[in-house]
Amino acid sequence: MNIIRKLSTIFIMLACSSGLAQEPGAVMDKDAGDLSSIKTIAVTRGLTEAGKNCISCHRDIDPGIVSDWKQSRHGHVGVSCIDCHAVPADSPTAIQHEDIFDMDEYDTSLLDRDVQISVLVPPSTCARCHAVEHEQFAASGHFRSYHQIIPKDNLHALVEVHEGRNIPELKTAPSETGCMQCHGTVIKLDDNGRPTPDTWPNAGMGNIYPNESTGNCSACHTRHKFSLAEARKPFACASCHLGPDHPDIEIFENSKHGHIYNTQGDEWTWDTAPGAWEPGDYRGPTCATCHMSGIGDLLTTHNISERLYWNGWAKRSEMRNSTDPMSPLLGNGPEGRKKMKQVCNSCHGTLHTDGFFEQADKAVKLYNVGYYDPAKKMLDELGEKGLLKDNPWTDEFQIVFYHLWHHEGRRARQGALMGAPDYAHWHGFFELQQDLYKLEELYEKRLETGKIE
Amino acid sequence: MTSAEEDGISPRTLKLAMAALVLVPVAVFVSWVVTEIMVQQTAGAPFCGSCHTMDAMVAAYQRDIHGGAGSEGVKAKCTHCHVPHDNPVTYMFMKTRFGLHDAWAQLTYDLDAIDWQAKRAHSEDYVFDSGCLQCHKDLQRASEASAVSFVAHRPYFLGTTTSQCVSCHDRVGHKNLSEQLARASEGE
Repeated sequence: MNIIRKLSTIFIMLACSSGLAQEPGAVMDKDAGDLSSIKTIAVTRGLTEAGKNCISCHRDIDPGIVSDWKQSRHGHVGVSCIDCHAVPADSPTAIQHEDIFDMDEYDTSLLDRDVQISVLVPPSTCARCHAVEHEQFAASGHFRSYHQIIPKDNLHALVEVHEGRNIPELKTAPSETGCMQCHGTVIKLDDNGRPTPDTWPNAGMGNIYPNESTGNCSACHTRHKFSLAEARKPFACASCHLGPDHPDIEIFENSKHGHIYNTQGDEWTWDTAPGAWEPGDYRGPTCATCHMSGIGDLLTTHNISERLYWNGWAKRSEMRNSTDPMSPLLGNGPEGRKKMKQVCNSCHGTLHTDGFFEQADKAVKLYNVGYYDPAKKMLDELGEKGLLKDNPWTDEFQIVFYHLWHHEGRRARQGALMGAPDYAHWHGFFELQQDLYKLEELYEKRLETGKIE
Repeated sequence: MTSAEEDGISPRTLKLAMAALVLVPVAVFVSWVVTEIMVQQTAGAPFCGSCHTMDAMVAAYQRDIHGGAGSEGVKAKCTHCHVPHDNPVTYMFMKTRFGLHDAWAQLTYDLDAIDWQAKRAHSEDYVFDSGCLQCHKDLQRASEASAVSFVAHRPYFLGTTTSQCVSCHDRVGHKNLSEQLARASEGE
């Protein structure tokens, strides 16, 4: 009997202590996934009547969305569903619940016929409160994420004819599941004003919304938390800036900055007020620190082109020298470099900073004159002599040329510019010399024989 | 010789001076009243809507809070929003300019070819902040009353944004204008 009593005492103690262990410290993160806790929320403070009504149903229907929102800054200041999703009745995206959904199971007394909503929230809506951020974004290279694709016939041919096999009902699959998810698209609407499945959902940066507003704030600040801390972490950029053609997250991880982040990032302070996130909150920079965040005297910007000298993604890198967001040379090279050095000098001495850029610039110049220029010269000559195939994707010379600038060349340049030795060298210049030798061999053979092999 | 003649002022001059002293202020007053009446008479929907091209705008305006459909019945006139209110000279100049342009357009343009929807994309060119702020005088202070409008209006009053009132409040003044424009073009 004594043993049973002891065992039950131990059991009760264990049960209590495990219950207690869940209480304080772990509360914030646990709540995010704990849907039962969301269903009980009744938010009244600072919200409009219509705003409360959304939440009272959607906390049951979309607990994940409401959970995100209640942990967001929007939730804190009383910006609720309706503030972003309400649109005038004559908006092309305006809908009313009863017209679209079967509302039998829901309390329709809460619905107001005067309130029209839109599932799409274009950046022009965000700009109503975040005007400065929106202006900076619209002046940045991110603005043209989709606009730049529109006139590129060879790219449309690649994804629809070659990748999509030109099968009428299937050929847009590569673009919908690939390109569109990072670059965005022109969002089309069906007869009910609902976005069509060939254009939505997508998380693309450069979406053109039905009201012609361009961009997508939630590409970095994912909905419905729209977190500042999230966009400061490298993952916000990594979901697009990765892979063989611009392995920027891999480059970051390969760099000493990534090394420090990977070892200590989970101890840093991520939610410091905008513009006030400074060394000390972190021990090393993330993508956001260098390209966007306010640091020292440098002001925060949502123009990611502002602190750049080169266009490190182009076929041939040139100094940035344009104010047109549609230009591949958008930016001011010398000013951009000055700003980036200001970032570097927050943690490094000028000897370190200046020396780093000398090394990196040398690599970019080497790519330009040592690889791109001679490769382009051979390509042009073969083209003039009719020694290139019409289908570039079956022509070894053109395939290697593409890899030279689009894959290897970017890896070498971006690896050098962001301190990633393995990408500058093994994934970069090593591959580049192989590419160039291959191109020279094909070039000579074609000139000799007058034929495409 | 009379004393007036001695002073060099003839009775005729004196009479004229007396008359001018009375008549000039009267004329100024009358012309001011006439001008003010003219300015007021040509400021609102009854006048602007006298051309059929404005039917949709007037219909949408009358259904809008700015057209008197709010709970207070306060009504803005067309010119309150669509003529700059920086100072009286600019106001009169721009009002005359816009008025002459519209009269000229009404007489010479192909009115059916005007894409009113497309014009809405640059409403910043014809809705003036100085107009909005004539009525919303104390907006800066009022904005502090709620966290939402405080955050939204802060960059505007700090001058860190180039956005105008209508950049964000893009449907202000005319409720469901798209619908009214569609209706108007169907009616043709």
